[in-house]
Amino acid sequence: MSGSLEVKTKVVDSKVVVELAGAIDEDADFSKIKGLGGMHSYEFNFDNINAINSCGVREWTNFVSSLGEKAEIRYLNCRQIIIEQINMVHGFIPENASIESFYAPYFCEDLDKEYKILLKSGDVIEKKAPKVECPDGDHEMEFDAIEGQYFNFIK
Amino acid sequence: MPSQIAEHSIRAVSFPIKGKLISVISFLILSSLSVYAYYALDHFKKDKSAYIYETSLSVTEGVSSLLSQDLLNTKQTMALLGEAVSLSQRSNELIRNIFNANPNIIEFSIYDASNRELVFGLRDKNFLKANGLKDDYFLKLTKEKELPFEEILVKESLLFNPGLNLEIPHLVVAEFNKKKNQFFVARLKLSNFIDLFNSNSTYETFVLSQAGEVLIHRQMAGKNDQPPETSAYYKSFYKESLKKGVKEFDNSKGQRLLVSFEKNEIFNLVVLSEINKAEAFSAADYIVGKSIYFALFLISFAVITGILFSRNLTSHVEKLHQGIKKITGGDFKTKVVVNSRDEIGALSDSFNFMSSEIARYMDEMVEKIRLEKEVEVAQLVQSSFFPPNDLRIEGYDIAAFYSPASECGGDWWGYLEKDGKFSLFIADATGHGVPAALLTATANSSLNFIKEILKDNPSLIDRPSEMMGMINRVVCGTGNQILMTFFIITFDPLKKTIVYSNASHNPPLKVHLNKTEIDKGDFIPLLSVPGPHLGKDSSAVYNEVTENLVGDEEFIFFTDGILECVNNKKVAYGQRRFLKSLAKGSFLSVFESRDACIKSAYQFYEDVKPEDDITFLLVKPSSSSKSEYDFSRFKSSLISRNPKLPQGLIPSNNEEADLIFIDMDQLEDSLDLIKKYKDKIIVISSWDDDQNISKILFKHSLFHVIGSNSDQFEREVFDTCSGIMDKAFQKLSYCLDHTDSAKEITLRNSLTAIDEIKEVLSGLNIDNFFDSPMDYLESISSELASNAIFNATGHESTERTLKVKLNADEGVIYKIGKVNNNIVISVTDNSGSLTLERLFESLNRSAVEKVPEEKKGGAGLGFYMIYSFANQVIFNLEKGKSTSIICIIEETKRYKKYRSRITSFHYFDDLA
Repeated sequence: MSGSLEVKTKVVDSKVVVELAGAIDEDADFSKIKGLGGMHSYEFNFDNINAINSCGVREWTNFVSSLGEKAEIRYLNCRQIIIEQINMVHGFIPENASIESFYAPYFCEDLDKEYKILLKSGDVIEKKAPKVECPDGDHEMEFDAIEGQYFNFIK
Repeated sequence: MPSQIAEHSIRAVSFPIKGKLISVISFLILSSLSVYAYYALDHFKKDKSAYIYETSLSVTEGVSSLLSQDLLNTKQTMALLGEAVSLSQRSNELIRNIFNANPNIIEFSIYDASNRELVFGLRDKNFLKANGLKDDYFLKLTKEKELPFEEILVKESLLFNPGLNLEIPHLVVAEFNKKKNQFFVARLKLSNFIDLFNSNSTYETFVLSQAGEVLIHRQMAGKNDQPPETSAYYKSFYKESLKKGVKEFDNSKGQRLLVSFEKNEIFNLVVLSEINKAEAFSAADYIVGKSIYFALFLISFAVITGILFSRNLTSHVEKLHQGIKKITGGDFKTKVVVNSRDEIGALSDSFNFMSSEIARYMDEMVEKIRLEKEVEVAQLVQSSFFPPNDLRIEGYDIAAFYSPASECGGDWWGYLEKDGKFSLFIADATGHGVPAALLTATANSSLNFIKEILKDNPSLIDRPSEMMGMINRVVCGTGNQILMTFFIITFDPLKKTIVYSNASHNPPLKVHLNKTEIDKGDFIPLLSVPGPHLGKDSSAVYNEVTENLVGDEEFIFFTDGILECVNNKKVAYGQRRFLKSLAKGSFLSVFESRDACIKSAYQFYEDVKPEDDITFLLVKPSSSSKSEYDFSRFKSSLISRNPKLPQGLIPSNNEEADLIFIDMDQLEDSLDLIKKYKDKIIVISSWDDDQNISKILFKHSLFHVIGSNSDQFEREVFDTCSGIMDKAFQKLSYCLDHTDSAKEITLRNSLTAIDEIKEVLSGLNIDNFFDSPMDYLESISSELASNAIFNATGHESTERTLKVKLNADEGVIYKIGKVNNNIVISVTDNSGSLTLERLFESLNRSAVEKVPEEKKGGAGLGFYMIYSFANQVIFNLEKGKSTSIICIIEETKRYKKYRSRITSFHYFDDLA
């Protein structure tokens, strides 16, 4: 809709590291990444993605599938809006991709405040949220989503 | 299936123990016997070689010694003859005697060294005669073949063969006697030497001169005899540094010869004996060959024995292996028969014992599973004895909780209603588990029986003691083995009375909520003269007590489980904590109060599983009857039993009703109703969004679904009722037209729209919302605006990447603001082209397939995304004029609440 997606790429040790920022929509242009043809390892950082619409979903699934089945793909710092898409849309994360890290909502009842905690996929065992202490206190926070639903992407 | 387990859990045997044992045993036997055979035969061959070499040399030495002795004797005889001849008084008899004493000598002669003239001669006439020769044979021979006097003179002593093909093959021994200046010459018979050589025919014996010429050989006995050709190497023997030894040579035929030799330096000759090495070693080779065959036989025998032993040993292991495979394949009755009295035999006994134990255990497991399944069925059946946990009857909210200590419980509760009154029943059978559960079945059957009686005798509901007596007689009929406490109470909201009867049940409590703070002392037990347990005495009579209702009472019914269950320290929850918990929740709804009380009790129990059944009911007048909304104008048919539905709705039959509320799981039984009154049906659903889309909206094309877990349920119901009744969807209370906080922009340019939306969003107050609703708001806004702009052009299949700029009269109106603290987004296009069918198809396709569509235009996921991200979605359609889509995100600080909210859906149009 506006082409507001910013794509920064760099190649580190024959791996393409991509930082995405803004909104993924119909104007999302991934040609800059495709231009780095012949690479087999990709790392996408979603830390600064704040919106995605249905056409953006289509653009993304088409793009990521075009990287080929043999490509090694990793998603990093997935925000909730990305986790929603991963859990909702088939193909948003292809079979050959994995989620390295993602944000999860935790709520501190004492401070009446929500925190977004960056988790590694390995932190989640049997779809149970790991225990996390409040960053602003020493008490345990409550995972603030339905575990089975939010961690659905973890196989 | 069991065989699959076996295949997957047992690796294929690629190198069996049998093979390993055979390999190891064969290798050990083969290597040890081979090494032994090699060393033994090697030593044997070396020893045999040494023997052969030694024998060969001995033969040569023997021949050489005899030859040497004969020649020395000859020389001695020659010397004696010389002396005898030179005596002044020569005695012919003496000379003859000396001559005859040496039978080897055929002729002896003396030559003057000065003139080479014969001085003396003596010959064996008999020998010459025997050979057919005359006495002068040697005289003539000497004339024909002169003696080598010069060589004799130089060497002083000479032995030579005068030539072949002579009548008498012989040797010549010649000496130069310096003292007498004479040559002594003796001719020696070869036959004696040849006889000596023939005495050992195994060896071919030669006597060679210094020059390598053959002097003596057994093939030189006759006139025409020719000695075998000698190899060139024979000429080199005399040059050998060694005096004697054994050497190997190849003859002209390529045969390997073993040659032993000894030099005789007195007579300058070499005695040698040769033998074909193959022949010499033939006996040894024969023995070696036989030994190899014997070793091979021994190895084969040992290997075969090893194989047989291995097979015997491993066949038992194989039997055990096959047995285990059968067991993993599910054949637990398999047995292994091994008769050996070794560890394998003992192991097979253990295996058979194990398999029989497993089989026995499996049989027990099967029986246990069967019993567990029966108990599960019983649990399922028993669960049907209980009403829903949340009820609203005759203006009273009833919140119940039931949890059995095991699969089935001995607690039970039920209710019946008749003519605006209702009765509650609560019971506790002694003990718990299946026997107690069977008695609850009796209680439940009795309740259903009473319901039937009430049809003819409605006043029975006013006499709980009589109902108690009837149930008691039924329970007594079961055999009096298990007793039951029982409490029955009848509420008459119209008369404002309660009547109750008690059969030894712990008294329920009531509390008046007419104070600002409730203390545990405010709870009043419903006391009466308690009757005996049900099942004890079939003739028992039960009393009843009537009390008036003020209208502010809350009633608490419970079994003793909640009070008596204990925590880790064996401390019971007890009445004090129970009353305190009740007091704390007195001013909550009964549903919230129940949840709080149960939470408190289970927190106290910690991780100790309650050992008794727990049943707990809270009853009080419905709080929602005091609604802030006026529902009095809505005539409603309530097929739904959802307790959240407002009391103020005017009950009506389906025909006359303005609205029909129906629960989602009743739709399949209400197909005629749907067909007739589709436009006034509101579905209350606790299904998830995907189920609501597929099983309610798409399947039945219904217009309204309200999520049952909405915190703003009543308001939503009211707004929905208003929307349907007034056909004024544009005037919904959510509508942003009526709020000053709303911001409105008109979007015309697809490229700049999102930036304009972001600017509006940046001014929105989201303090009381979860951490980042902005991501969701931006995604929803982007989706709605994109769809609206492209729909406004009438080019739904236009590539979304193209730039679209709308005319001044085509703008998309985007509004956002807070209404009742909720965030409301409204996007309105001016096409009005959306149809219900297209909407439902899109939603259903997305919910089922969950993939974007590969087509021009949108990706086909847009409606599904906003449905998923919004708490309420409202579609307003003015056919051909405009489509408004309103998305509401309700105020909450908890992301979990936001995402677990079942999305409500409403569709309004102007077509009706």
